[in-house]
Amino acid sequence: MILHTVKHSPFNHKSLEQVLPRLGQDDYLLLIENSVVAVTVTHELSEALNELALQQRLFVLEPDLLARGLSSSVGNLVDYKGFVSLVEKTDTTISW
Amino acid sequence: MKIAIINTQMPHGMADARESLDAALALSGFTENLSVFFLDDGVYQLVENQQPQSILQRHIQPTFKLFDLYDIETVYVCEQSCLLRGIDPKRLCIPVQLLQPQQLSEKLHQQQQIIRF
Repeated sequence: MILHTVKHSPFNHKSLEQVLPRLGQDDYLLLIENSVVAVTVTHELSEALNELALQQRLFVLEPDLLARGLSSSVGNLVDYKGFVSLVEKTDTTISW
Repeated sequence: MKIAIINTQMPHGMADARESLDAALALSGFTENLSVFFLDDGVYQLVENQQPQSILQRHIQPTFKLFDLYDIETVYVCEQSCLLRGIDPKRLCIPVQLLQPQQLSEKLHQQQQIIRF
């Protein structure tokens, strides 16, 4: 079970688009830094992200949303402690 | 001399936003014709009520309010970049001129020197 983290804005980097098809059945996806914007507006990757959220496998680092004056109703919001527990819960982490 | 600064980067990720702001304030001393453009992810810099302390970043947004003091009145924002990102172009942190991509390109071609951040 892998924790995938993505940090780039999907508007200027392909990392989020590239990681989605690589997610295993029970892998987690955590959006941090600039990539948190991916859950603040509807775009071509939203459907896949909503799907992950429904399965409770999409997480978003809340401090990065607050820092940017943004909010989201998609995905589970976590703080830094939550980030750590996600790392503990999974076997390994890949940052894209 | 018509000089333009283009902001294309998100705030907080890297130092681009702050460096660009410092450059704008510095350049405003040299030319009356300084224009500042915000496009693509650069528009995120103008989103209101940011709380960068939550990620231990300096809050540079108040510095945008210095634009008036430094006579930087020409601030262009790409409206399409805002809409694409779900940002309300009427609720940005400073007064701006909203342009369609075509208009924005025309304004850019009127500049003599352009610096992109």
